[in-house]
Amino acid sequence: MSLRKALIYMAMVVVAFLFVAPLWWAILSSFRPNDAIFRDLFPFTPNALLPEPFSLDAYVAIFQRGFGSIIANTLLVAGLTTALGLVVNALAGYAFALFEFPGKSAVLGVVVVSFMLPFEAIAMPLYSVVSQLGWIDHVAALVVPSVANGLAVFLFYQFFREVPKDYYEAARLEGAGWLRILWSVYVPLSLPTCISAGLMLFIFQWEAFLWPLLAMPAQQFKVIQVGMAAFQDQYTTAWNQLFGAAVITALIPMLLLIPLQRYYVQGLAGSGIKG
Amino acid sequence: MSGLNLKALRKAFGPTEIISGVDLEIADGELIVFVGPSGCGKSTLLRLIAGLESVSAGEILIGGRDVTRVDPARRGVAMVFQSYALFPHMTVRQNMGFGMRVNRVPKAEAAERLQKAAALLQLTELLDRKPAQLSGGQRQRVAIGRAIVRDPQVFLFDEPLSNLDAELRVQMRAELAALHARLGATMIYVTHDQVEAMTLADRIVVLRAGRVEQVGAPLHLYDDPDNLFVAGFLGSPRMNFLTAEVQPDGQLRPLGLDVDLPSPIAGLRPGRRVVIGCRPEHVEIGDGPLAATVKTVEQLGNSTFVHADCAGTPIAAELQERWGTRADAALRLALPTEKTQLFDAETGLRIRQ
Repeated sequence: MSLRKALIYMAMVVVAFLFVAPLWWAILSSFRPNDAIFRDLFPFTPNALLPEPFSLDAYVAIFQRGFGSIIANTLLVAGLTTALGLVVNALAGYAFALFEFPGKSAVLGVVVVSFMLPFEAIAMPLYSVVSQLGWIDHVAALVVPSVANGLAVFLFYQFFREVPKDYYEAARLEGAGWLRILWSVYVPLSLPTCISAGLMLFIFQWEAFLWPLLAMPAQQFKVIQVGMAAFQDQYTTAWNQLFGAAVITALIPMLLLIPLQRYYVQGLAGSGIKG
Repeated sequence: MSGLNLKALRKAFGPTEIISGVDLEIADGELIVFVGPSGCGKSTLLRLIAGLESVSAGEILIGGRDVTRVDPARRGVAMVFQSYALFPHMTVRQNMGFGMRVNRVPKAEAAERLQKAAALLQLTELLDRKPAQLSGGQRQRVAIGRAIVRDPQVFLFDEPLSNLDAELRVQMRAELAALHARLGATMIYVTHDQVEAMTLADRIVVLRAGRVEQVGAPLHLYDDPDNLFVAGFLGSPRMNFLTAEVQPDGQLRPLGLDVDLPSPIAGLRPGRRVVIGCRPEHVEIGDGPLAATVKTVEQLGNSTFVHADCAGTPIAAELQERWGTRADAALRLALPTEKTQLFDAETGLRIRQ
């Protein structure tokens, strides 16, 4: 191996270390007692990168503090949003792709703009709408505003537009109505798009912090990002528990994403799909 | 099974008229071929009949029933698409049975119809395959099978063979002809391929720019075209055309040439411009009044096409023997008077006795 190659490999190892080290350290820290977390960092010893001393106290404590129900809450909100969102957004994308109606391109333009707006920009108007509906501190406040998603509509629209129109017409001649055609022909063809859109809706909800904080002031029903913040008190931080919660929070979407990532990539990159 | 009537059918997309008043009567059990160049409206006409496009004016009657505003599924038509439009995620069985499932045909009856159609088209072995696992010809047969199980009054075919290679086309053409004979169904077939039109049709409808140019049996159109367009569209190489002027003695003088040809029609007004039409197989080489230069010679084995230039006008001749002459050779050509047809140079219409 030439010196040049060796240097390149060294550089790559350093870069990889810089990326992985914080993650690795966070995962390790969740397996340590709280008082041992910073022990080997200042001054730094290699022990800092080993789970030493090993302890599961953090995880036990997290679940004792009710993190299990927080996960269940979040799964409920994200699952409901995903299920409803797939139906609503697929229907909207289908309408844009197949039907001609007055003002179609203007409405589609609004849909596209809607997913470019940062959430913070609409948080306060949305709050006043939700509060007038009497949904504050109600699960509906978390689910309903997130169901219709411009990006998901656009994904479906893009995919359905590429499906040869002959399929639609052939099915129509066979006597199928438009809803039946969507269900029997378009949805089976668009499984990668459904999976992409579904994962996207799920992750949006999984990562939501600001909105659940605003819409659920009573904190009776907590979702995961809000729940995680509770590990930081005014005077103390339970670092090992915080890291443990972060590991679990990252793990659940990853478990979903890993088996489905093939479809996810295919769906997001899928405008060139052949029928 | 029933016939079909089109009455003053019109279709416009915005200001552009695609179909400009088509009247047509198709008898029960007839195989009609719509033929014409790209953009002539033949596919649009088929889609109007199917109900996939709405009619701007006029009427469509199937079996005497006015279906102009009837939903496509209730018109009693089945269509085979150029792309076949087989649902890729369904097996052959599911594809063929889709319509029956949608219309809640009882399972036993649906299975029987499906088996019958599959047997007719030799698809029984392929019923559990998906379209991607089939060859082009097999997909074509599945698309036809999907139409057959619906037991329609009228079959519509939109350029069904254009995605197949040459050999398969010939084979499928024969299969389609056999199928028509067996089913005795009314079929409308759209193509731009005149060989398909000539070989399959009971009658051909030649379309141009949304109008019917002529309707008739294939050989009738070939032998007795009503106008320059039909004369030039059917036949390959196409009919030779020489623009000529009627002389005071009634003879025809091709423009740019210093010879007079006898006219097949007497009593034409001197000075009138006409077009002389003569099919390549009727052109005689050897001794004749027209001097020409050979451009290319195409040897097809069983016949020879000679493409020559006659004072700037291309003339093709078809010979039944092999012919060794090379390019640039000088030739004398004759157009036998009894085999030539005359057309008005301005309107393009046939001049008849």
